[in-house]
Amino acid sequence: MYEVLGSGYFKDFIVPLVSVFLTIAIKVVSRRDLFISPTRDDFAIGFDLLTTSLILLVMYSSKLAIDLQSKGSLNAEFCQKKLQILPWIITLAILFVWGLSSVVRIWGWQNNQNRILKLWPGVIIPLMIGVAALLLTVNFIE
Amino acid sequence: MAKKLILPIISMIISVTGLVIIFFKYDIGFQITPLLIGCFGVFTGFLLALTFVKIREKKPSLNVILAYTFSDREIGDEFAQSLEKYRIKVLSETERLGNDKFEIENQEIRNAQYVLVLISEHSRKSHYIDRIISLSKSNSKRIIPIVLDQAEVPKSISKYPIFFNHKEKNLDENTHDLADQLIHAI
Repeated sequence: MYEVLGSGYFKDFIVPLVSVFLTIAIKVVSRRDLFISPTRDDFAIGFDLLTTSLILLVMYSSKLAIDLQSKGSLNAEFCQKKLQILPWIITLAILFVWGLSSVVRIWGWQNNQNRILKLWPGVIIPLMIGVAALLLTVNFIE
Repeated sequence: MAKKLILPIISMIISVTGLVIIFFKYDIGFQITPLLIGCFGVFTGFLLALTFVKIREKKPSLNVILAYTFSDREIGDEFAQSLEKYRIKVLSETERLGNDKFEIENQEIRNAQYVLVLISEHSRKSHYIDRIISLSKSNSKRIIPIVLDQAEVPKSISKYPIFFNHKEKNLDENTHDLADQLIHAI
């Protein structure tokens, strides 16, 4: 088990796979049985992935801070370097998510239609940004 | 709309510029191979999710019994087809099935979540409809009466709320709309 969890493939391959699969599957499963036909909304998981990335970054910062505080930390310099930039990354990421969510709110919905997202500005662009954010975050975390 | 977009877009540009500056200033080296493996992981995750959605889509969401007499078969068959579009497994029962199918009917009613009964002048005279109502009640199933014409609802099911009543509304809606309303009502 340790070998599986500790392997680079788990972090680089399994984490993105499970994140994408679970986010879509849970959206579909949690809907009423009569309305389980897939909709665009099910695949609009860009913001979910962005939020996951932010939470991963916050947890990583917390872990680095704990490592730095522990006596005899072997990689104190590494922790300090990352902790210097992480608050900036998190702040800028939150600003980006706010901007993107406002763009989707204004531009991402079909006119005169209730709760129907536009394909590109509502689903695909946020999805691509979310996937990129998740992959970069997973790559950043060591 | 363009004015509203200015502030969010500026904030996105600022944040991306900031992230790029941090990337170069602190020399954060992203490795290409893990990123490519990650892309493959995301793609696989999507394929798995699509397969999951497709498998789930085929599963009937609800089992209902739609009981009507042979004389009402035209609207009954049409209504059954409309319900099937919502992945509802409809067991269309008409009095043509005869009286020797008591056990099968009993089994089917036990497996159903709802029993829809089309009430009409014809059905009032039908022993078959009476039997379906009696079986449904003995199996504690929720009966949904749908009144098609001027017929009175039988006393045995008068306590159940009527879903559609021809006396209150005209049946000018097509059966698809009726099915749609029923889906949202149950």
